[in-house]
Amino acid sequence: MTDAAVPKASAGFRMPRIWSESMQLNIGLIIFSIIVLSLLTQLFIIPSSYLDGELTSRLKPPGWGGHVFGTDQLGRDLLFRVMGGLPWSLGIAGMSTLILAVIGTLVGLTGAWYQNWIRTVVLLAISTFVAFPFLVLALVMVAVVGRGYWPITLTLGIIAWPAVARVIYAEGRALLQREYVLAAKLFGVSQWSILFVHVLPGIRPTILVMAAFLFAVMLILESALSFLGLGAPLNEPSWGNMLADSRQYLVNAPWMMFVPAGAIVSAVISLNLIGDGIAEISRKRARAVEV
Amino acid sequence: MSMVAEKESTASNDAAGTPILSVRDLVVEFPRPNNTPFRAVNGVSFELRQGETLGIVGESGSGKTMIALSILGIVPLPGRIIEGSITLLGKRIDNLSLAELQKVRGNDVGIVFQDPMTGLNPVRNVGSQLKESVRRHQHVSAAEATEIAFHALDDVGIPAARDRLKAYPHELSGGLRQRVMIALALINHPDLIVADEPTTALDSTIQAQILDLLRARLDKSTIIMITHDLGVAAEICDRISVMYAGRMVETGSIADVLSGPRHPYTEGLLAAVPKFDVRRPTLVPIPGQPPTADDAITGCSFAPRCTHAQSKCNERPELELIDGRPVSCWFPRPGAAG
Amino acid sequence: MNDTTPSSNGYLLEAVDLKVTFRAPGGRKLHAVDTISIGVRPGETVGLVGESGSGKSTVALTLMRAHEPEGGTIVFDGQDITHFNERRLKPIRPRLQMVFQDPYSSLDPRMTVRRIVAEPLKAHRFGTRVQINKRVDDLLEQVGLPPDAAERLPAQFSGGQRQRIAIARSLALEPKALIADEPVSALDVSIQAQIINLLRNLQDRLNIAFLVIAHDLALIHQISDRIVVMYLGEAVEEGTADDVVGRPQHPYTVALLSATPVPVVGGDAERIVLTGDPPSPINRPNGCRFHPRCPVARDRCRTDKPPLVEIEPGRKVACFYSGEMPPPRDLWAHEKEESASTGD
Repeated sequence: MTDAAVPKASAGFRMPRIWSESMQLNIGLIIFSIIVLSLLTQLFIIPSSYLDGELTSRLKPPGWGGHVFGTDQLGRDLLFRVMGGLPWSLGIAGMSTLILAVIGTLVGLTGAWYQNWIRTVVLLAISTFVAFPFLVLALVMVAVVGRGYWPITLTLGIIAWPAVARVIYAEGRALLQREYVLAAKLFGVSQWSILFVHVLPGIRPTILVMAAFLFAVMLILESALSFLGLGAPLNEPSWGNMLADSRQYLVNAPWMMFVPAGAIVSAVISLNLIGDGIAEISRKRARAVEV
Repeated sequence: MSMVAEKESTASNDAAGTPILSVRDLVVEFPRPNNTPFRAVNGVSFELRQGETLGIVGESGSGKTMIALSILGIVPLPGRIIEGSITLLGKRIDNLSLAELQKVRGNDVGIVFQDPMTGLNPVRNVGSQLKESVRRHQHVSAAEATEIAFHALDDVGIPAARDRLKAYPHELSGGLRQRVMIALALINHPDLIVADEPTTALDSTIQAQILDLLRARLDKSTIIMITHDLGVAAEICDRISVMYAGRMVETGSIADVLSGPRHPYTEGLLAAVPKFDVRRPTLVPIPGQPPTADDAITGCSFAPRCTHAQSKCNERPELELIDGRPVSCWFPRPGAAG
Repeated sequence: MNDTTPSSNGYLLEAVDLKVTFRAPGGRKLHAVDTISIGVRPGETVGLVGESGSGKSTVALTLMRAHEPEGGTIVFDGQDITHFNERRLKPIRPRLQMVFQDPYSSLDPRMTVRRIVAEPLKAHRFGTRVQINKRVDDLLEQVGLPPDAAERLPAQFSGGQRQRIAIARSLALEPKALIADEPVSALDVSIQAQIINLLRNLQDRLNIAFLVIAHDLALIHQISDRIVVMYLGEAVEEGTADDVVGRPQHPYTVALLSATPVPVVGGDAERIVLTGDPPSPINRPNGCRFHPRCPVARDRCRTDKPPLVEIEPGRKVACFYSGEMPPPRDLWAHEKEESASTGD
């Protein structure tokens, strides 16, 4: 003889697939999809002339002779070049983000899980890597392996994972101290099960948000490394290389700088919007879930 | 019986004076996106006379804390007082500016919160907080303020009060912190004290200490005591008002309400509490759950859980005097007589 | 149902001289629980009462083997489980379960009620998916939740309903012993009685050995057969519920009783207000742990520690001057009134 009334389910709990409740996320996703679409486009429609320039049409302003964004010092079309830079810039940033997210999550969770010497080692490792001089590592990589996709990707991934690890460590520890985790343990639920059922879903939003922000940071770092000559091979159209090229023509052909800079800025902004949007949604959900 | 009669006669004598605090038809609303606003307090009226302790008793979500916050002028946004008036010492205080409110708080109204850590500044020592409050409301020198602060701590039974002036809130135990909070509430001799669950966070032996202190120290003060615990209310209140879903369902002297509850909710609450009875009768719970913000209630808000509800209860009952006590129920319980 | 092997004194779950210490900041020892012995028989409810810092929750978690005891033994169902590792504990877990205080933090907010209640079932390979679903539906019905509750999230329930979900989860594997740590203190008064009655009914039906931990002596008296009173990690008094509440021997029990407010007119107990705060378990007073706050303490109490002695069968007190303070409440007043009125 007990009660039966349960409050009505609050409607609209599931987020629509494409158009989310966060306007920031929507705008960020639109910009980012345009960028990715152009990446795909250039993979399939490669104009034969986008790498070898036409010396007669050097340093032409945007709109000249069908060159929408103008040409560079070797007469190469800047639109095609900035599109051609996508596999380099976005590819390197994306892959290194994936690497750092995986390493950071694994290391952070390991530190949160164990309460013994393993935790000490993990925390020590994080501090050590934070203190490691990033440019020196990049130099060593280039010296040993040479300029290319993997050296720079690995450099970036290895350098940035402690940021993720530290946050995941803190959040994982907080989650593991929740009473429902203790309850599960006392019910005899296995450790793997606790990890996959209670802990990983709890830190998923954090990983996504951090990945979006760090993606943007990686994009900038990749450009910086290429700009310094430690990134993509010299003639490859990475956005950093393009910026490096533009240095000598700042006065005569400023569009050479504006085009790659605009690409970097719009990609970074869209990624930050995505990160903010995910954070906003996860905050809203957490409120709805943990009232 | 004679004791009850005596209480009533003193109450009616006091009734001649003007009330210290008068709340009329108070409505506090919280707007909700894509939804009707939630009425945390839904038309509450009461008066408080000099020297009286009124207990406002209710469960979580009943709106009892919102009444206290309304009196203090700190209803959390986006909540708003949309109707009614609050009059303190003959002066409307529900429409004051922030600066005017600051003066009222501390000067005319003292506050004791459930958690002293929210009422005390964690990075300043106890003495400086007491002194600041003294000097904001009284024109005294720093040395005089120190003396006043010392006596304030001493009066609430804090041992080694002189040394404690230099203590930070986190260095004190929960019981001592609550004593400091009470000292702070009393230091400017306010006309009204609002105590929101002052003993809820404390252990029972410490709760007993604080209740004793409140009884001894605040006998002459006028107090509104917000609590969820009928037992605590029974210890120090003269009158209690029982709240349910933003409304007062019953008001009366503590003896009347405990020995002869007229509203079925009050009756149900009393039946649901264990009472040190060797016979250990099965507790009679109130069925169902308290209404949530989403439950649209047109009639009596307790009707869905009331075992005595009839079709008439689909209409909203108003407060009516039953044996001189305001009760809002179409079918009041017989009370002590039955 | 009689496949349990209680020990000689009939206890299904028993702790003997249990001792738990934690390391406090600064390397000092925090004596959370100091040589407590407690036992629960099948079908019996034992109430463990004490204030915060008395170590009562630590007793619960140590019995559940969430803490490692420093000394003493824990015997469950005839097995000494004191030093079992997680692998050996696994077959014990289904028979020894726990209900937590706060139904807001003890349920994973991201899981549906079905997944929450099914979690222990899955962990112990209860059966097929269909069998598990059936069991979950049965359990939800047993604790008085509507069938459609299973597909919702905890946030969509009130505190009392969440505690029902938590109880359903604890009962999923048909435990023989259940430990409840403050099972109703996070709930509203009108809901508390629902949960208390639910626990009592379930216990009657399932013949569980039930250990309830609470700070509220009135509540503990309402549901327990026997009561153990704890102060600063030690048991100070033990006996049947009516004895402890009606004829308290230890001054602390008397003070606790008088400090428990009950909403009854004229039922106000004679008040004994203890001075001071409970001492810290890091820095305990010598002699009797209670002497700095005790109204009847004498010189001896400052130096000698009174042992917990059995004054009657099943009745234990740790005080040199036990029974000096009169009980603050006359539990049998109504009987006298009744006999007086029939005598007239």
